[in-house]
Amino acid sequence: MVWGTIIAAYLFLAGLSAGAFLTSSYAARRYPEAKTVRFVGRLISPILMGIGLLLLIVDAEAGLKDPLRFIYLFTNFSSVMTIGTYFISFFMMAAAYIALMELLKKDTSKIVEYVGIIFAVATAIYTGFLIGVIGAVPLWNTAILPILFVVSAFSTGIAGTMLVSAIMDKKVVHMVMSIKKIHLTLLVAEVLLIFTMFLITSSTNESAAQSVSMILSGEYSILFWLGLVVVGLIVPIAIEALELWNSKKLHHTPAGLEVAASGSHGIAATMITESAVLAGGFILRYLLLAAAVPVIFL
Amino acid sequence: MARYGMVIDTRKCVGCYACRVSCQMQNELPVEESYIKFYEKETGVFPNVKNEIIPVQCQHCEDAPCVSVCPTKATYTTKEGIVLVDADKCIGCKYCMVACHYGARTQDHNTGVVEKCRFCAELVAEGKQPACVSTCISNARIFGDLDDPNSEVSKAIVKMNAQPLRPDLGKAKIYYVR
Amino acid sequence: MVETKLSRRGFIKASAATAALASAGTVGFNEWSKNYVKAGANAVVKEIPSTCNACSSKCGMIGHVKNGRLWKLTGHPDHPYSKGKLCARGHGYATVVYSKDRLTQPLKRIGEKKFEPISWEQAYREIAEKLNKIIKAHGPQSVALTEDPRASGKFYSPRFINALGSANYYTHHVVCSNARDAGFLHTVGVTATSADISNAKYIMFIGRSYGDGIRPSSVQSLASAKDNGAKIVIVDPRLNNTGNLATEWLAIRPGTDLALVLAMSHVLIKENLHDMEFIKNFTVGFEEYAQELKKYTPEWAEGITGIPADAITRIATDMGKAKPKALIEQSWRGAFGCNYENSTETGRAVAMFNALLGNYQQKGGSIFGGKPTLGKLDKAKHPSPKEPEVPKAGSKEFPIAYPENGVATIVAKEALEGKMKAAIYYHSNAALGYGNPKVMKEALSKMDLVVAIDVQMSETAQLAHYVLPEVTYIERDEVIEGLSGKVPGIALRQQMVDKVHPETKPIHEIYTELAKACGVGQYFNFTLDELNETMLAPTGITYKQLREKGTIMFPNEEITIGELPKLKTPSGKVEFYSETYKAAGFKPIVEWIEPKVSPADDSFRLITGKQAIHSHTQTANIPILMQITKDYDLERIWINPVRAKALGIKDGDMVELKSSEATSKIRVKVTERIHPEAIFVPSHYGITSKDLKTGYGVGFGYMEHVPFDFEKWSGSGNIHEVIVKVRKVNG
Ligand SMILES: Nc1nc2c(c(=O)[nH]1)N[C@H]1C(S)=C(S)[C@@H](COP(=O)(O)OP(=O)(O)OC[C@H]3O[C@@H](n4cnc5c(=O)[nH]c(N)nc54)[C@H](O)[C@@H]3O)O[C@H]1N2
Ligand SMILES: Nc1nc2c(c(=O)[nH]1)N[C@H]1C(S)=C(S)[C@@H](COP(=O)(O)OP(=O)(O)OC[C@H]3O[C@@H](n4cnc5c(=O)[nH]c(N)nc54)[C@H](O)[C@@H]3O)O[C@H]1N2
Ligand code: SF4
Ligand code: SF4
Ligand code: SF4
Ligand code: SF4
Ligand code: SF4
Ligand SMILES: [Mo]
Repeated sequence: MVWGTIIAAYLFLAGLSAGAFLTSSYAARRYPEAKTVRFVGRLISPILMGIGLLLLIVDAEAGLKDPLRFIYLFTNFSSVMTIGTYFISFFMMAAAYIALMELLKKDTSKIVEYVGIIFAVATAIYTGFLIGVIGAVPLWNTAILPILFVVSAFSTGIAGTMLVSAIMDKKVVHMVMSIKKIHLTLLVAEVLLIFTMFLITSSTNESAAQSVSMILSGEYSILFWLGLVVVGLIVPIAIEALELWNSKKLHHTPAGLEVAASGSHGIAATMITESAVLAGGFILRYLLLAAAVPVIFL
Repeated sequence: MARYGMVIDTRKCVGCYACRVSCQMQNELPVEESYIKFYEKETGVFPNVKNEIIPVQCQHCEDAPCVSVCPTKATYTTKEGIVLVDADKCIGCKYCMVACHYGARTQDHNTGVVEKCRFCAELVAEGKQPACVSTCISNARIFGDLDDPNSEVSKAIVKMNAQPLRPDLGKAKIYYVR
Repeated sequence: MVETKLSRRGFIKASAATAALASAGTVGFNEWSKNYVKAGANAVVKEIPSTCNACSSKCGMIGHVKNGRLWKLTGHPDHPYSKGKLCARGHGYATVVYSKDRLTQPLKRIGEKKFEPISWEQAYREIAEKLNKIIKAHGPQSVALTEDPRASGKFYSPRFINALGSANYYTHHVVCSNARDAGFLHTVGVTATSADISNAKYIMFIGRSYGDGIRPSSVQSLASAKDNGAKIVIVDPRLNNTGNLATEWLAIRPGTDLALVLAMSHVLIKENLHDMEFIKNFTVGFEEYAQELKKYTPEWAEGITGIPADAITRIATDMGKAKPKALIEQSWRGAFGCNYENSTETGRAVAMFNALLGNYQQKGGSIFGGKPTLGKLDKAKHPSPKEPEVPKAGSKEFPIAYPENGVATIVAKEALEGKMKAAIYYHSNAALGYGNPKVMKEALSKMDLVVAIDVQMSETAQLAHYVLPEVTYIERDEVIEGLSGKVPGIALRQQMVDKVHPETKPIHEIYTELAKACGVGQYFNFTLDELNETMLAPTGITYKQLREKGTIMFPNEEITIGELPKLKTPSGKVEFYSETYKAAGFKPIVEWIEPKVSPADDSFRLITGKQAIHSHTQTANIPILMQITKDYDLERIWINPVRAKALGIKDGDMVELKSSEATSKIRVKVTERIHPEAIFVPSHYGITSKDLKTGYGVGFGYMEHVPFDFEKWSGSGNIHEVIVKVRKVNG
């Protein structure tokens, strides 16, 4: 395992951060009244990206010893990591500016927000491409992987934002039902993408087949089935679907609306789903790094 | 301009590790770090068995993935086609390690820098042979100019039909006889 | 030109601080390389020719010394064993000079494994007093000296023990090649011939692996023989690493090589492919031998060796046709150096097979090398010790053994019997490598005085009363070494770096000073330089020239191929029939002899052999070499998959190995490369001295399983006469 837990955490946090930023922008537009969601998303995205960057620096032993070297990160335009560094830098600047404005309770510049949105998407895509372009690891080297990473970035972003929002404001989660719907869609898409990716890579390449069998039935199978599939996907999908179904019923009766708005219902479920999604998001990245079987060259 | 390359004849290699140790000494590597890794391939059933020993180091790929992914340009290709790492630029991100098809790179945990076979550029510059080549006790290694059809290495490649380990993965400058 | 935008990783200028660290020897090679990496503009690199000491080959090498510190080594281009190359040990063992586990001052034992540092003066005084007291009470035949013969040792060690009046000088060959040596000696007059491999057309190796038991030039010659299309047959229960260079592997049942050689000899004579001309002119006793061979048919040998009769016939026939450019290589330790009750006889049979091929002193055959003519000390000025009165211990029991090397384990036997009272071990780890370590320990503990001269706290040193620290070979000059071969020559070991530990001394100084303390200083009234100058005198080469070149060959003295010298056997010829044997009570004609023990269906024979990266026990504590063992799990024992499966053992499993002598736990390598009847143990592990921190605890020492024993003919250790059982355990 050349890249291990730290890089998995970095990829996870970068995706989460980008997703959170997008969630907050969406919430700001669609639910101006759901201030907490906007606030949380805007605040956590630069913080988490910052932590992610710190992890990257810690993992880069030589740079850690001589930090001035990180300047060189901007020099090779044929490297996805260089390009990603630009994306993250622009994203960070925008996200940090917007977070600051949020804290200062000032209006944000629309342009900066658009820039932020563009580079948030770019950052999410980058985390997939970073490993997706590596021909040496057939499991990663597929067109599906960046899509999967983007989907997962959005879903973890929503999860992270909603989790913190729920803690801060019990009611607010029930005001943003379309986010929940999006989230459910993303989770279902993730399941499809994961299995499609495994199917395609393992049928075309020996190393990837080895990777996939390590995940499905080998040393990582428990983490995959229990950690990613059950906890990270099935449980949130089930709870989320149930919630949406329930909320439909609730929203049909005035009493129900009352209950929902008071927030006495459903916080526990939200906490569980969102934490599970976050755990799943990290496990997904960890598994992909851990099960990286290089091409067989002998 | 010379373009350097090497032949490794696995039919001659006895797996003695002399190349590994001489390389470590030449490059003053920590004992845990080695530029040459060894793979064994046993085929057949007793007593009709064959065993192949395959020493693998940086293959000095053309269009090397480690060069294109290195975000700092610490890894670069010289005019002679030797792929080198500028240790003062490397941040130790290990992107090159995941990108290398041949698992040829190692990280020195004292400095954090990721390194690999450098074709003994400093010896070659003086007109000498790389350490692993000059010490190979079975003469399984031949080094020289690939562009010169009369060099020993070029002739050996033709004569023995030497091939890169995975020709389909791109051109490499180490040719194997297997 | 190559762009030299090279790594300057951690480069520090040769500052006062690093220079001080270097001279104090407090940094290991490893740490050093961290701080002091690339040669900068101000690094001074000196090249000093010398010889390797990582094994008995003592190849020529060139030390590259950077700012007074050993950096790297390259093979000496002129030396006949290195031919410009060094093996992994040659490169790596040199780091011993900076080992953290070196002995740094004389030690005196004050309890079980407890030592206190003492001065050289005290060490000399006390050792001398004890030696003299023992000699007075029990006679000089109660003291012995044993060594791994190296250039200085070969000259000084026998001289020292003789000066004390004792003939008891021994070498480590009792567990190396005593059997082969004896077999060859009484057949062709030398303990070993050499082989003209690069010119041979058909080569058979019997338990000899150039790719594992390495000498670089041998591997080079074999590679070129292969290039020239030679047939190369490896006879080994194990597909060793020379397998890649071979054209055929005969997976023989261990311990049965004698049957194979007898049957091949039978075929040669039967098919009339033997060289009658050679036999008539240069051998004695052929008729009796041919008569005895009649019963050793290939079919008979098939039943014993497991090698198909038609393969035996085919190979013998082809060798007969390729003669005289065909040979059985003289071998070393692997099959018949010291392993089985029939080993000496196997050695004899091999020497005879080569005689049938008439390949002696022929191109592509077996060669008697020429020796350089070197000067000797003027006896008037430098008297030699008198011939000791009592013959070497063991020479009565083993009259066939090569007398110069003797049977070193007789020292242990006589110690157990209370006859041997004092032993000196120089540069040799007898306690771990010569015989069962439990027996060796008991024997050494019985003696009144044991002195070990070593560079590290070996298992033998741990059992000694006094431990004397020598400088390493990187820090000393030695006696000039004569090189015999097709072209004779000389080589010099010389000091490359300053002494790292001030209280260590080179061996010639130790012997000279100890002799003085013992009252026999008159036999050492010369310096090493004077001795070397004397030796050089007849060659016309100056000491300065030799120091500059390191190795000098004498092409004018090249032996003449095709001209067989008068052999040093009693008859002056190859002896198919040996009167010496007869006089010693052995059959004068070679015959089939069973190994002492044989495995049953549920057990295995334990066999052992070298790995390219280690030398006996001395390299196990060298980090740069031991790391390779760790990276590739080289300490594992080998087992055949069919047997493994039956025992429920998978590759990498931990097993218990049990013999009559010991029980060991070790992981296994399951491989098709080994005979189902054998378990192969790599020979270099099982260090039990805790002072050797790198080697300690890795693998096990196969000698622990070997019963203390003497082969009847040569006295060698019978070290493969061991039966073991294996079972899977957890761990
Ligand atoms: N790397 C390394 N090289 C060395 C040395 C060292 O310590 N390490 N030491 C030097 C010295 S002192 C010596 S003596 C030589 C030894 O050199 P070799 O004699 O070549 O070395 P070994 O590995 O002991 O034995 C060779 C082979 O004999 C095989 N063998 C075991 N039992 C039998 C048998 O019953 N029949 C047959 N036919 N084969 C058998 C083993 O499987 C092994 O592959 O090496 C010299 N070179
Ligand atoms: N376990 C085991 N036993 C073996 C063998 C084996 O491979 N393993 N091989 C067998 C064979 S073929 C042989 S030839 C013999 C060899 O047997 P030995 O001659 O005993 O060889 P080593 O076991 O290497 O021990 C050499 C000792 O010399 C010390 N030494 C090294 N350099 C110097 C130096 O410069 N000066 C001094 N004073 N001491 C030094 C080392 O520290 C070590 O203690 O062993 C035989 N027995
Ligand atoms: S073998 Fe690996 S390290 Fe060497 S040039 Fe190719 S990709 Fe780079
Ligand atoms: S580890 Fe160093 S050489 Fe490798 S990609 Fe990163 S910066 Fe470049
Ligand atoms: S060419 Fe030089 S750097 Fe590369 S493996 Fe050989 S010795 Fe090491
Ligand atoms: S030095 Fe030569 S024979 Fe030995 S392992 Fe290296 S390539 Fe193989
Ligand atoms: S064979 Fe290797 S260890 Fe032995 S003397 Fe030569 S270089 Fe040194
Ligand atoms: Mo030996």
